[in-house]
Amino acid sequence: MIHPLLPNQLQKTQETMRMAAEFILRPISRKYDKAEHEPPVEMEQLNQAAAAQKKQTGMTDDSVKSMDLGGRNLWAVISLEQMCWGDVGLFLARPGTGLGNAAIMAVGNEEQKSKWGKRWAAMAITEPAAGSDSKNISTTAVLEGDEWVLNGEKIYVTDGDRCDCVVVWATLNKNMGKTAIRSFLVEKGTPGFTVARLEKKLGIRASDTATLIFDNCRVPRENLLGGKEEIETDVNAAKKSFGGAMQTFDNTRPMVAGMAIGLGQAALDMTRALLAEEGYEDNFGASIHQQTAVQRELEMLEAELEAARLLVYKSAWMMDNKMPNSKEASMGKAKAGRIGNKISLKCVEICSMQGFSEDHLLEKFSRDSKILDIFEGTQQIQQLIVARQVLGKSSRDLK
Amino acid sequence: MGLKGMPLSQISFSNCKISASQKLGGHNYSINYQSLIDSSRIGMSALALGVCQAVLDYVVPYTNERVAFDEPISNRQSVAFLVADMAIETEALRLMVYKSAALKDLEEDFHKQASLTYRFATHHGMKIGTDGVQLLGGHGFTHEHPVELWYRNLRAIGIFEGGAGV
Repeated sequence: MIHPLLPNQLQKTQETMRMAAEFILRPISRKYDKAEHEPPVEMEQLNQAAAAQKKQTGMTDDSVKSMDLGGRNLWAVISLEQMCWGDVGLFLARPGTGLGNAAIMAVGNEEQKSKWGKRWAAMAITEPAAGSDSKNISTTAVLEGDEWVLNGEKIYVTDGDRCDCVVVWATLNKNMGKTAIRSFLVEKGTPGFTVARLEKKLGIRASDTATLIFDNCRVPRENLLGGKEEIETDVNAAKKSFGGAMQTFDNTRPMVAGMAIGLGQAALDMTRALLAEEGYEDNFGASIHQQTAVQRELEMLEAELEAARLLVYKSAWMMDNKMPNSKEASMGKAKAGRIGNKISLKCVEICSMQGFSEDHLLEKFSRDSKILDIFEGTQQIQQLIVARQVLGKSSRDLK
Repeated sequence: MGLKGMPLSQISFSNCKISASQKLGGHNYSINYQSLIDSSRIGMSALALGVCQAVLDYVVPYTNERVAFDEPISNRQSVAFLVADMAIETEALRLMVYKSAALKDLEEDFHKQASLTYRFATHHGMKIGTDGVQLLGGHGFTHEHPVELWYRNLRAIGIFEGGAGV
């Protein structure tokens, strides 16, 4: 079982990353929300802080620490939670790592990991006609000589404009369903690969969200992640292959859920600070007749946030300990996503005009939080995954 | 309403004399009322957790076996998502309860954690209780199934200790 107290090293990470968030991200939070699509130049500082922390705690990329300590995933969740306490949009815009990196680490072979693991890789799955239903994508990959030829359109690609390369999901044969889906690494500047447009969004405006076009885009044969060129006809082998790709999400969902926890805490902290100016104090655990409506509301929100946090930490810790965590990752993502939304909007409500005004960041938190209950699987997709596991159902029974 | 296995009694004292040695904790001891309440809240939350788990363990096979419109009702998202949420909140409650108890064992300050856990337990306990009845429909309303009993018992968790002024 996960230890109820974080080890000293992770507590140190928490403190350091909180300071980095407060002094590097918060001051530029509003600036890049307004300057949508402008790459933040101050972010290198944050990466340096994170790298120094990682070195200090002895978390090298492939290390998996003992159960009590937690390993790379718990470390990552805890540090990104603090960075997102600062600003989710800026955190997503930090140069160097994207979701594609998680895919390379999950699906790539050793050679691919060492070649591209350190490059900034975005992940391109969603298409105009396929979102959560990722097995239904229609971008194609055809082997011609020693090259793969990609054709198709990808949308909502986070980091799609600023990254070094993109992990692109495509099908080798549309008629063969999910068994034929593979991911390919495409370098920026490859002929036939263009960034068609940037999305204008409700929140996380500091982060770029791109539409990518692949028009007879040729990549070397070895850019097929995992290297599996033949399509399995055996049903079980095929299931395993697509399952492997989906495993990327078991790794990334705790991360996105951690973002929602950091944002929720930021909204609660800011609300308390504003209320404190009017003499407000928390009184957790006081009886109902001694609590104001606001005290009672904030107590409940704090409880929900703490519950979500424990679910998310557990799902990351399970990953560190090589335990299957698909159910737990979805539980944490479902809970954290909806609670992040609820808290940030309630905080706007509690602070009324100060919450609604751009003089404070509460309105921005409420806008930024919405995406965290949508990407990496919507609230409903998480509920579906949890329900299938709890009820023992296949995707055919429970659609 | 609930907790009928546990009789509640009213007792009265009128000039009832007891010896000084019967004062618990000895002569100079005064009770840390706050710590007592906090500890008791961890226990109450654990009771709620056990009942929530019982509800979940009951509705999973029930909704899988109960057929309506030619298929198990759990094949429908509006039923299945209710069960999923029940599982999510029960697991979250378990982690909250264990963390509170562990903090107490480690002699850390556990007031905040116990308060939040209890609040979470009452809120979600009552929700899970009522959803358990809902998932069984009319059957859940009768004494033929235990979900109405668990619903009544979970209702008590929200009242116990809550009225105590601290």
